[in-house]
Amino acid sequence: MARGIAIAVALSSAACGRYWVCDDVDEDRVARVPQRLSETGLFADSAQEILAPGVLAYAPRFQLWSDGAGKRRWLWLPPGTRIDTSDMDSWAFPEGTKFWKEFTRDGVRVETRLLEKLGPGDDWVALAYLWRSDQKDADAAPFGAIDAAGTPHNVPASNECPACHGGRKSFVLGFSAIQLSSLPAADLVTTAPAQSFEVPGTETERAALGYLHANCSQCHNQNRPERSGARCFDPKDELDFSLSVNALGTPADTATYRSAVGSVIEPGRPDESRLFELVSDRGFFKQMPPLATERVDGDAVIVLERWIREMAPR
Amino acid sequence: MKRRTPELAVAVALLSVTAVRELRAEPQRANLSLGVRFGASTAPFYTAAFPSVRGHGFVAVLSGSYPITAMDELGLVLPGALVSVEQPAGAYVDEVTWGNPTLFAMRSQQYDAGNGRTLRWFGRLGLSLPLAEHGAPGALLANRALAVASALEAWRDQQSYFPGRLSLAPSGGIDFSSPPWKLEASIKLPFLFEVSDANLPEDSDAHAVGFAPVVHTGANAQVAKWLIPSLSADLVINAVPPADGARSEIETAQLVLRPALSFPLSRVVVLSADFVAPIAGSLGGSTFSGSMLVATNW
Repeated sequence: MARGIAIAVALSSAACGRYWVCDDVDEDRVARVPQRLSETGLFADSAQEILAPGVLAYAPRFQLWSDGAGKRRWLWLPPGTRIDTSDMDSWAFPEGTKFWKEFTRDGVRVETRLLEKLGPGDDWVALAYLWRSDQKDADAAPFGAIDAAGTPHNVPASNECPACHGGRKSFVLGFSAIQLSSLPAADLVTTAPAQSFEVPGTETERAALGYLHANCSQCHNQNRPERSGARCFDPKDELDFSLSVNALGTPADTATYRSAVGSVIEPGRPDESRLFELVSDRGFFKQMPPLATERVDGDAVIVLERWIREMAPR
Repeated sequence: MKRRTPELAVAVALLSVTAVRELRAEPQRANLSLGVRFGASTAPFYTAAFPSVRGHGFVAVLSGSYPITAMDELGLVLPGALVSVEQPAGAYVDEVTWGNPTLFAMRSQQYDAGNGRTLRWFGRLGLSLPLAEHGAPGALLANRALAVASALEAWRDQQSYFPGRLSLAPSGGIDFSSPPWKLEASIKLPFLFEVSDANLPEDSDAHAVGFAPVVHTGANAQVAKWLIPSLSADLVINAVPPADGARSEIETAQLVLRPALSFPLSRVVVLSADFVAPIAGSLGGSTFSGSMLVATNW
């Protein structure tokens, strides 16, 4: 019955803004980057183990939940270039910048995603590479794959990547002033902050705000860039779960508290909070995030439940 | 009150005797119908990258026939689909695509069985042309949309939705009417001949000749001048599916229940609504659809 209702809602909402419908894969665009991972400049050796010169590993403080997949991330900047950090909430990356993110299941590499800036502005291309069974290289998978390599892991189609990345001016999600506990070396940025930015609040508050920033704010933020053409995963902007370097005084200063508490978060009552309900569930049109996850993030549910329960009723 | 023999037994008996009287040929009418089915499905697919496909949307089928003799008619069926196909991470892409059009010839005859009862048989031969779209290699978006469309029809018309297949589908059946009751039974034997790979990759296991017969039974009762509820059951037997899944199993038997309501709006216009529920099999629990159909004749 619930599924039937969900389907009915999905179909009936067809006439009023179907945010979940994206453009088809732009095959010409993804053809502009190498079709094998070994040609992208990530690794220096044929075994695809040793990083190429100039490739930097990093890890964000708050991670996007990917159904428990192991992840590694790398960045490469063209020699002599710097990240424009004049807007500390939205870094601008030089042309030629490459980001990679590797996903493993049970220690086996399943896919590695490439984000490459081809030209000025928001000229990014995103593409996933599916690892071969011998783990010696990975091949472009512009249309993605379901249950890749016999695991429960789904590889996104390239047209799905902008659904999240397109919600940020910088197009990059996990490499930012908020997300890095140790900031890049001074010679990689135009403006080096004096210190790293700390999320306010108790341990629970920091974990909850960080989770929402990493998993929800790419869509739910009030500074989404204007884009032309068809848009997807572009919700109304009443809610904002992003963390800004200029609003880190107290938890109440954050956009999450200002926009969500009292609407989708009922202080002291997690069971009556729409946010908690959606994060705690999976299924067609009844889950958040709506993309790239089929399993509930148990740790996040515990944190969010505690956070809402401990929140003082208004 | 006159005792009634069970209707089905009568129908079978009538087939075996020659005492029934052929009804005087009435001028047949041209028929035109438009059905729109909507629903959602998660169905097996055929490639290693996509062992399954999930989507929701609409299937439209325009069907028409024209009598050429008192017993014979020629017709055309044009299927099309608008399906939102789920991408691997959960976004959707809309795809509008044609299915395979079907030309058919049908012969039918009706007999008077006395007391207002009639028995009718029909034989039909359908030729489905391989005009359905494939989708670009790798993406196979049209192909995947048609797999959803075929699942929404619970695989009862695979010849209409499998790209790259030229199909011959002989079918035949009988229906027995003893107002207000009507019973029907038929069998369809579609052969799907591979004429192109439909851009499916080498890892998919396509068969040169597919064979997926459908056994149909149903009953309805005209409980009011304006209302005819019905219930039918179809058994789809994927004896040789057009393609096996590279990483998914397509079960041989697929049972389908279809309750429906028909509303005769006038002598020439009927509006119908149905609900298709695959039971068990590969589609059971993962596929639901309903449809509205308007039919007219003149």
